[in-house]
Amino acid sequence: MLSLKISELSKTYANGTTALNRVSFSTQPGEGIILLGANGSGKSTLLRCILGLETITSGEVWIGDKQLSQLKPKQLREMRSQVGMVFQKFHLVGSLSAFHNVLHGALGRSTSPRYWFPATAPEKERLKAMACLERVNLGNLAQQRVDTLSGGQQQRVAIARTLMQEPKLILVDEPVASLDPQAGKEVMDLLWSIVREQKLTVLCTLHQLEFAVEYGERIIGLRNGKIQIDTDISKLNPEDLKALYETPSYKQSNLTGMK
Amino acid sequence: MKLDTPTKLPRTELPPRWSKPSFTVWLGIGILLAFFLHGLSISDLTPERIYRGFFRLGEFLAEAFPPKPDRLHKVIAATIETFEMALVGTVFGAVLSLPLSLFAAKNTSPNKTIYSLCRGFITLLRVIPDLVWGLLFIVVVGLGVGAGIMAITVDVMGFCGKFFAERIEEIDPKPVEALQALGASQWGIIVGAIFPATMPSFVASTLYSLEASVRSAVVLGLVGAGGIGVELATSMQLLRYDEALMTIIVIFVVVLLVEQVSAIVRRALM
Repeated sequence: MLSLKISELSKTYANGTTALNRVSFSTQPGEGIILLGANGSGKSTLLRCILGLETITSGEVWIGDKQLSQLKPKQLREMRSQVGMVFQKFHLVGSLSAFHNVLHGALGRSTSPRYWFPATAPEKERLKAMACLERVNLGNLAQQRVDTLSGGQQQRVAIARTLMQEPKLILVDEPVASLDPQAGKEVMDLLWSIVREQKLTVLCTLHQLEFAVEYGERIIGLRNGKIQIDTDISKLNPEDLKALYETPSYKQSNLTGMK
Repeated sequence: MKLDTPTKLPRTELPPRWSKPSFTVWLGIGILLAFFLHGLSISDLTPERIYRGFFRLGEFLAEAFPPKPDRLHKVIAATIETFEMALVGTVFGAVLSLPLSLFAAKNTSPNKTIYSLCRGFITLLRVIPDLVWGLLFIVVVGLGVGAGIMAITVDVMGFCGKFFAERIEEIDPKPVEALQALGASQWGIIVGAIFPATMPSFVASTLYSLEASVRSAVVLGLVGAGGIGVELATSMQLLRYDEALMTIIVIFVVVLLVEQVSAIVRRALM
């Protein structure tokens, strides 16, 4: 179990846009947090900042007892290997097999060239990769190139890759936004059952309210890079939720003015 | 619904049918034309000379036919040598291009200085013609196949280095980011995400440069860098046109064969 603590995190891009504005929160072990917000509210940027894929303008990110900005390159890789990330667009290597992609999950564990290819990987890791694929019910498609799989299957391969990492914390970025409703439901069910059985802390961005209410325990609502809501799902106020997606009033007045 | 076609003449000015080219365009055309006319005048290709040339060609062909297969086994051995020269040079060139292109691609190069240096180096290799490299390496390592292989290696590096680097810059950054996010090392990312996406294109470019290398290996032989070119140059200088024709036929067959096989493999890869 890895705790996550974010304090006063701000991110301003080179063009002057503020993506995150003094965001602070911390996680309880085994907690399922849903990050809600409209497009451009800073959800994805927040996840990317946690992994150090995006540089932080100010503030601190603590993962376990380590502060992100203090990590040396080797320590950063070590930290990343303990944090799983599932992306909206799967981010798989299309020309490789499902099995090979899952095996990539072990690349953070060892820098040995043996881990580069399924042919040379240690037997232990090969067995583990196969078990991960079976966990997402894709054991029968292990040898298939992933770019021939459906969107839902690809997202399951990506989940298996994350599982292969043996993460202690999972970040999930819009896992179902690229999928049809049926496949999206299956992926969410699978993801949450894995998170539950491994008792992982999960931080998942979503924009569908119904999913958020169904799977989340705690909701953090972002709007224009600021935390607007941070509450237990049972205490969620529908009015606050609506406010999250409201367009700023000046835009509306502009629109009515045009008529 | 009826379209409302305007019947009145437009009030604003019509765009002209022709616009006058700018001064720089005229200047460019003028300079090229001057070079062209001067080139034509120094070529001294008068109708009379061309007319006489036909007879000379007839004489050559008369002497060249039938092609003389006396030294065929030697010619074939030299052709195989040429092919091997091209193959070894291409393999060396392509293998050396791999690390070079990683340093010469914006998304994999460690920093801007190394990127610019490697790009500059690749350009240098490419802008100097293979024949000039050949002459240079003959001075360095002496006459023979070795100089030819080195010239081809350098030539292939100029071509493959550029193409490999451009292919690497075109790759989808998403899988790369995923491997970064899970803590893979730089080498793990290169082998895990970059090479799988670029390999088919790398192999196709390498095969294409093998085709070009076979042709340039023949020409390199003419300046003494080993292989069939040496045979052809000797036959021509000794005025043994029948032997020369035999050699030309063998070259033709080999080049065509390599091109066809390579084209088939490249099509299968795409």
